[in-house]
Amino acid sequence: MYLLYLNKIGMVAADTTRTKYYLNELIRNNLFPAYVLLLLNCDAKSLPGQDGAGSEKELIKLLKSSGIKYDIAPNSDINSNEVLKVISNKVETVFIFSGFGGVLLGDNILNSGKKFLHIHGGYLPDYKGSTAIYYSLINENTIGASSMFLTKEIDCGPVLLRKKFLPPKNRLEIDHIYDSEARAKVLIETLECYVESGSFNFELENNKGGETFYIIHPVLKHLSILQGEVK
Amino acid sequence: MVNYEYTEVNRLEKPHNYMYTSYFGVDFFRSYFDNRLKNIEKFKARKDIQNTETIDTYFCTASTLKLEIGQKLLPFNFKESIENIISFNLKNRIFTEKLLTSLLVSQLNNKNKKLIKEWLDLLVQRFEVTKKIYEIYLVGFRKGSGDSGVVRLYWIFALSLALYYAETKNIKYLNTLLKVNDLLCSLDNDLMRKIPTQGLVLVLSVEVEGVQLLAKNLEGVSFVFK
Repeated sequence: MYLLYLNKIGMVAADTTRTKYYLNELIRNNLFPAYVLLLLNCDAKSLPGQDGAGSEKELIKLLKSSGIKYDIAPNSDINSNEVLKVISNKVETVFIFSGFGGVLLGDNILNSGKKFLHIHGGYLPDYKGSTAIYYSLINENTIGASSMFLTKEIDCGPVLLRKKFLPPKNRLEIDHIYDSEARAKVLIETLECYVESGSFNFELENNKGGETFYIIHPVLKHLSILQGEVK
Repeated sequence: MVNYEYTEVNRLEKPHNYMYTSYFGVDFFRSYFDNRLKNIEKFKARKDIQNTETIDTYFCTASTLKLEIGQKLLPFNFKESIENIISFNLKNRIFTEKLLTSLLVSQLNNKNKKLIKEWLDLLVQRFEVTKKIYEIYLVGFRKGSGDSGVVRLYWIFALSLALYYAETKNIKYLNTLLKVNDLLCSLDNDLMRKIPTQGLVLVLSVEVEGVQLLAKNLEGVSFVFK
């Protein structure tokens, strides 16, 4: 089997269901990040993006079995000096970012000289911000995902690739399955384009405008889920 | 019956972050509509309303007329001076009450639409991130200062959101309106003595109508809400 190690591409990954999705898809498509830095939650309480216990062991098992080099970060905070030091010292220039929900990258890490490839759960620039997937389901009955390099302004970085998908059949698992699935598809396609052309090409460099959404209220969340069961 | 937890405790003191909320099916709508109906009744039953600000009564009437028959701003003559929205600048410290009243007058007048969206978006962003509206915002409109427990500011903000949602049907604003209204409904009546009953009922009515309209084709979600 031909395995493609992405020499310049690493990954910073929190132990979340999304990371599990990303890694499974990367491995399934023979696109192996050269290095993974795992951010583990040391608290008993789940952090945003985590769905129950045991994901940490699963991730480590997955990395070991596929032979991907990895380290466990000194702490779970991507913005800490300790994590910054680890990332700065790596040779990889681009890191796929899959952090805990709601975490934003601070100036220090953004100015570290590394690029952070993030897959946003929304079609940019129309759907910026949080839980955009639910808003697009209500507005146009689609879900979207877009790959971009992170910048200081939230969801305003240049867009590499963006796609819209049909609504999921079972809308009860949007947070931990379909959102991750859509993002993983865009991640894979973005990396395939990179491998094919040898560089990152932008679909939308000027990612200005659009609408910024905030965490969806449970009433609207229920609406977007129940719309899948219209009379 | 599913519990509507979002108004159960004082949300000024214990804000809800609304992250990864659970799904309860159609029953959740029943508890939501029930909650809003109870709160409208609670507001209507208030007996200790103090003298409300003249301008607030005016805002209630003007907003109702705009929402119901699309009438533009009624003539007014207040002792309070209302600043033009063009006079606000991110390079200056912003007094939120002044900004909100100016925003409402512009909305009622159908003027300066671009500026209305810009300032409303900044307020939405601040509220969504902190779940608070501060009396003052420092230069750059990032850091709030002063009291964040002035209930009147939350109500005027809700009214501005209600007008904006009614006009644009952009659910981003309905989303924030739901959260601000959760906060208002979570407070004891004695904290809202200066806010006109009509004004509280108005912001809840716009919200509920918005939700009803979006839910009209959903199986099992057909609640009559007068």
